[in-house]
Amino acid sequence: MGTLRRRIPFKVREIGRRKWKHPFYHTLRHDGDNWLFQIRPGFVNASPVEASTQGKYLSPEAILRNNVQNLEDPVQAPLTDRPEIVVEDWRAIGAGADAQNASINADGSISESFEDVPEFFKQMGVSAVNRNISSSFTSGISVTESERPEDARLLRAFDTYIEMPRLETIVDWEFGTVLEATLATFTISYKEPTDSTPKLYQAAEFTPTTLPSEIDLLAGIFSDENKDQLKLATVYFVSQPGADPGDELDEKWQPYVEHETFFNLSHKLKTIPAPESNDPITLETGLAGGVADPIIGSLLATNNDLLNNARQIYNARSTGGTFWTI
Amino acid sequence: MLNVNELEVKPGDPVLPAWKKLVSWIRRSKVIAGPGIRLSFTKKGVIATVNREETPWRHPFKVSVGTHAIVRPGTVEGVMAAMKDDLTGKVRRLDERDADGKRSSDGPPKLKIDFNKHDDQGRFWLYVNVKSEDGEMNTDDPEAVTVTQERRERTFGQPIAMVYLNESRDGIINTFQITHHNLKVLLQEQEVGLPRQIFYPE
Repeated sequence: MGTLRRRIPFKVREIGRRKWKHPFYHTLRHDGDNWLFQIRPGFVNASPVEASTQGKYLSPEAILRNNVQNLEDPVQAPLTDRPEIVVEDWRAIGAGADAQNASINADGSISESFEDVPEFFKQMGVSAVNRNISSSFTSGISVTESERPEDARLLRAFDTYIEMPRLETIVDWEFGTVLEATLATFTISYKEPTDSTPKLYQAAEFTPTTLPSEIDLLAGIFSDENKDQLKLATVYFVSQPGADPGDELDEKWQPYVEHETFFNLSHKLKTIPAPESNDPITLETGLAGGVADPIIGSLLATNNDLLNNARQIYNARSTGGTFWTI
Repeated sequence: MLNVNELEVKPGDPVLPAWKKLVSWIRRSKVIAGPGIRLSFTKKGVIATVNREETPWRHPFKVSVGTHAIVRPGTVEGVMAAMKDDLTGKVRRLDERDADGKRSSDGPPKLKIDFNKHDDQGRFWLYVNVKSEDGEMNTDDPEAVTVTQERRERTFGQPIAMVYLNESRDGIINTFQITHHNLKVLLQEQEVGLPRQIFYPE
């Protein structure tokens, strides 16, 4: 036994320079009360991304630099100040997860779909949800969940993403008549964001805002977005074997980060509007009457020259932005 | 490798053969040090020391800033960037070579930092600038791509690093690298004003 003891490694020490870590690299620690994450400084264009945290999670130098009066107060600090941020919310994946979708089948059973457990975590012993739901008029809804292995692990996750404010494209319609034909005039204008700083956010699950279709935006049915978003990473937490879905996310969970953004970013608008692009554009519709919605509807519902003209003009003047790594 | 099943004995069987196998395996088993790993054998066991010393990533446009800025060679559209060298007073290529490809003995160009040139938060930027005419970059111009110190964020050129000055604005606290790659540039004509410069990695 003495030989065995002498030959088994009992301590591993790391020395020397640490590996290069990319911008937006996430690290996590538990401070006894909360899980905190910190992100290596990352930039959009020339500006450091900013994050919201409490003064107590900043270094003394950063507290001075950000003019923090009360350590409990929220403060917006650039990532260059290395703020730590409390993990506020998470989602369960696998056992304990909420269904993403549910549908009722012809036989009365209910089919649910869940976020897949990544293979890496399956190998670690995280099990997928295995649940059957059936419903009938006589017995009501019954849920049967197959038993998890006693030593199964649980998986939780949250996402981080950034938002870059940008010009919002606004479409206004006006109507008038010349003889019998209705003149439809639309004006494309722009609304500047109040703050142009790129900001970091966290969410239990990042759901990107979907931009309405060009036609809906052109018709003024939906508004354009005034920001662009980009996901940075998913942070997973794996429990010890045998954890219960009701367990707290405490220091016994092990964090893993799946990064999606590895370099600093550029963000540009599709177009920079010229001053004269605010000039109204008039379309002679050939339609009678002066009620706005039906005219816009019939104008944009059919694939005609007017529609194509209007779309081209809108497309040339709308300002949707794009990210890329640099 | 030890087959653990061979160590199992049934009640009444002699344990000595299995015990001998175990002892033999222990004598044979040994931690072997790979590259960068040093082993210390102690009474308590083996201490493995892992040396993580690695070659730092010497990427294009890597910036180091003190009283002067030194920038590792980087290109835009294949053109080597240049900057004003405080030592010689000339605009010199970052790769220390002249137009004929001859290496200079003056070392890398050193851009003198102007400590009065910063924004109200004590920050300044190093930018790569591209000279263009009629919407095109003249790749024959040795000064078509230059690195300069800028007081604030700009909408043209490409920031390569952001630098924080100290409270008294006479020294550097921190340098943050922004660009890690050689670049290409798209010059996009606008309805008004100068063409828009869109930089992307090569």
